[in-house]
Amino acid sequence: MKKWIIGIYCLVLNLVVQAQTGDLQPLNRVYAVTHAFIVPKPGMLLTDATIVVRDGVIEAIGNQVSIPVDAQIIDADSMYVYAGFIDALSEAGIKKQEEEQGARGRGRAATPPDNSPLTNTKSGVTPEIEVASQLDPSASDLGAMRKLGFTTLNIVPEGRMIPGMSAAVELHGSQANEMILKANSGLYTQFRGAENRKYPGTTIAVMSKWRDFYKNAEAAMHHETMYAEDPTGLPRPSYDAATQAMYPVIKKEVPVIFETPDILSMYRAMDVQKDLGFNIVLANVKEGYLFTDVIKSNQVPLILSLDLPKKMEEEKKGDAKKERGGMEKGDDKKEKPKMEKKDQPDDPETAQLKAKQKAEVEKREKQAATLTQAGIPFSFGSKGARNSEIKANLNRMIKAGLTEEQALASLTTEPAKLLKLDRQLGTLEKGKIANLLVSTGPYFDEKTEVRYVFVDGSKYEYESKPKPKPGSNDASAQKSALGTWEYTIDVPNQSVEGKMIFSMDGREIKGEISNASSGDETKPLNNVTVSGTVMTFDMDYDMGGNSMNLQYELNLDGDNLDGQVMVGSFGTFKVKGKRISKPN
Amino acid sequence: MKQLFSLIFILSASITLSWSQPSKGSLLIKNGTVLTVTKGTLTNSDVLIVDGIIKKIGKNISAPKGVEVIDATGLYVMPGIIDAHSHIGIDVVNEATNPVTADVWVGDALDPMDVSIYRALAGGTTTSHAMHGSANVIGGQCETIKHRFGSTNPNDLRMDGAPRTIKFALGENPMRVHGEGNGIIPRTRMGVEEVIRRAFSEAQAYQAKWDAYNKDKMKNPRALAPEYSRRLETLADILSGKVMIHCHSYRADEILMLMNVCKDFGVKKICFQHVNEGFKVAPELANFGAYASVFADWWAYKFEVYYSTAYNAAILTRNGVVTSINSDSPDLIRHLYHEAAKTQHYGGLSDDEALALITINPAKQLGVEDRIGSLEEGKEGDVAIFRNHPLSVYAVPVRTIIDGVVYFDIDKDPSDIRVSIDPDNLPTFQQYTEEDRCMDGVFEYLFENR
Repeated sequence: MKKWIIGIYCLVLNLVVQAQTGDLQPLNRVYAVTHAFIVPKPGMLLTDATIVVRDGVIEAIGNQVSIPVDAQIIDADSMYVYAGFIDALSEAGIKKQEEEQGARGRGRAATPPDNSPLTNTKSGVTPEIEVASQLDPSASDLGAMRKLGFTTLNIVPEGRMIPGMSAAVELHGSQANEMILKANSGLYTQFRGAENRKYPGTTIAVMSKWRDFYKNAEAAMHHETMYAEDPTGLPRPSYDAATQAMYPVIKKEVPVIFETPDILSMYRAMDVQKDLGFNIVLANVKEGYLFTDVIKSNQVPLILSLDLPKKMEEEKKGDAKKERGGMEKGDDKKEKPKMEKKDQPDDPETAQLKAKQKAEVEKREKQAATLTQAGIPFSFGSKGARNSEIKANLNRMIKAGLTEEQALASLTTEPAKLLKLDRQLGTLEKGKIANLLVSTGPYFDEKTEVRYVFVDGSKYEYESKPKPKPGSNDASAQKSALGTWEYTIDVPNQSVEGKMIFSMDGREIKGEISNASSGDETKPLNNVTVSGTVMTFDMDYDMGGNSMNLQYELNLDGDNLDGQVMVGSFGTFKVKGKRISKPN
Repeated sequence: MKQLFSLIFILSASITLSWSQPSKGSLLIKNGTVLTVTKGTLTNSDVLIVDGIIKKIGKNISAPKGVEVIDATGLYVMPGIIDAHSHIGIDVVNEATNPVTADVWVGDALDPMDVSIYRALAGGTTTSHAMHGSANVIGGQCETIKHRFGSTNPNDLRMDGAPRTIKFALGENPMRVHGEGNGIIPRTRMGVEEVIRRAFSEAQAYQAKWDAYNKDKMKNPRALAPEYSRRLETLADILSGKVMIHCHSYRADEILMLMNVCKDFGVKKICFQHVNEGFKVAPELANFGAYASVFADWWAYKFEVYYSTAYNAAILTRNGVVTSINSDSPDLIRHLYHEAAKTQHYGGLSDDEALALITINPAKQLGVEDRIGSLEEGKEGDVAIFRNHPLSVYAVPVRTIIDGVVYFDIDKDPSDIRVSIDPDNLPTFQQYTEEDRCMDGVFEYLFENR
């Protein structure tokens, strides 16, 4: 009997391997994950349990499950199975819109201003836009999110004041439309002015435009309803896609997802909500701990940001050394050049500022725990966070007091409820969509890796790979980055161009960067890491006296690269590049 | 955990907001020299504030139980200073996308964490008029704020019940931004006038449409509402006297122009800001009943303001124009008492006249003279306490009080008062520019077109 099972297992394994190497469809879509620790919902654990999924739906779960004969068996002994994670606010897979030619760099001054009548589109008010029109199913960040255990993303479109409708998207499929689980899950809006000096340019105008636009949409809906009942004697309603897209919002069928990353924008969003009365979700929340009273008394649904400010441990290290007389040298080679600087004690003002900064970082790490203590439920959203930091950030929040159970709920049951998808997502139950992840241990343990992810019952398998440390010797990956690259950073209204050179320094890879506008001067890049096809590094940049840290995350594809750079609070910008020469 | 499950998001719950009220305090200020501004100077006198309101001013008042006493022996007690023109406490100044943006309101963009608010407190300033900038002929609506620093709630700044005001701007700023910048009207001062007249005429037509609809609605349930426009609605509110104009202006000719436009449209409430050539048309301003809010001695920073005088405030005052001295700057707002004192050197104003320029007169210009601007029983407990007379060069503000609550105390002045900082971007130093903040946020537009 046992041999027989093993036999089938091997056969299945072969088929799976074939399916992955070639582009073959799997034999069937029936899987049994056996002998696992299964967490059907937060706070519940089944040991030595089995879950069977068939054709995209969970068929059975429990300790007494009989394995169907046609099932491909995955022995998950000592592994953990969770419901697939749901990201309540994501920008993954969205093609960033190209700026209008006239709005760019040097070309701009020559372009005469556009004085034609203002339209909603020019104002950045496009509620009629749906995510499917902007979604690129082959985008690498979708795969990166899936690898973390996410199976459903609530993706918001890219745009200005009202970019459009969000959609809950399943992370499986090659066509945008087939990935959509629920279109129009929310109307996404932000305090972001229009391009090309068009109204609304600022926060105050965005707020004013919201009130104008919404009230006129209400009137238009009233007009249409009356006309439908009896058109006699009434002027015909005019057609406007943007206005009509607002009707489900006015009817409170679709909530408004308001991006509010700071306390002031939360107050402002609630001011607009108070005037107009729509259902609101506060999203990308980072300072919710300052707003608990209002959130609680109004039962405002929340999407907390998975982004956190940089940890301040480096400073601590420096301080510790200082306390010990500044004589001890770190083992880390890279620390050495900085040692001299670090031996200087901070002046009292700088020390105080750093203490304040540290406290501020801690408040943000504690946000989720603070809200839980206040009895406020929330979901998590990844928008603005680097994929590579999401798990670490979750662990920082847990370290700051968030329970693992609550963390899990905020990644599964809470977002399912928020998106009104809790009948098909969020927990592992018979009949629900087969979205699940299998990890090598409890998910939030730092060493745990995600081994399998099922989306709509389709299996994705991930190899165990030792994690490369910054500057580590993933030699073949490093080699793929070496040489001279030309890059372009797509900053609104201008294009930043220059060169990057990567070379080997012993076993470590190092890099430097130059900017076309500042001539031959180069700056060093810090913490250059190449892992697989992903290269990350950061650099310090002096902007009119303000020191900023730019964080790059790039994908290498032969002689091309693309990715993004995070410029502090200014946002994330698209980077593209081409290799112009390889080292000898 | 189970509790969490039972806490289901109720998306359809009707949301009602209840912002908490800013706190009010009780204080007895003992034995100071009380500069009431409107009712003379009282030596060795006390001011009792109960629950934010001045209850009693006089000698030998005893403190009710539990009320804190401030010993003001040898100190000067004056009304909290009021600045009729500033841009602190807001994080948007200009919506420079159209020559007319009456719909926007800087009260939507209050920033209670702006450290300039505390710096203003440290100069005895308790109230300011947070204004829209001067990029547009008709800019946005403004907000009168009290400097209740230390909160993250923008609503704590609002001076509830203060009348609505709106920013207008004449001359070079709107001409530069829209005429030169966008190639649209106004490119000249004639164009500025045209923009205002057209806006007012459109507002009249808008109001007529709505009046007709509201009448029709009574008998016709199928009446259709006209298009709603916050911009035109606000302009109509100016015409009906619900919103007061505060107009950025320099030259005598444009000041006369706007008074003529206002006469044509029946607008009576107007306060001219800057008014650097106001001294040339002081009788006309007085005759119209217009107010003037000026700099003490700041001009020649651009061509249209080449010609002015430090006697401006005194000449306007002597001609019977309600005049104030403003800052338009997070720096000048810290020492408006010095700015007021300059009118004693240039123009020989009396102490009360000079102090009125930064207290009761700006209060009148903001329509809050029945609440603040002088020390009188029944008014709000906004007080600045000085070591040495506030009009002396040796004056040092020692306490600043709003609604009976101490917000600045020189003896308890922390080295870092900021409510919050951005953990990702540490500030290193503040770049100081000589330009006034009136044009904040529009420079990038201008540079792009050079």
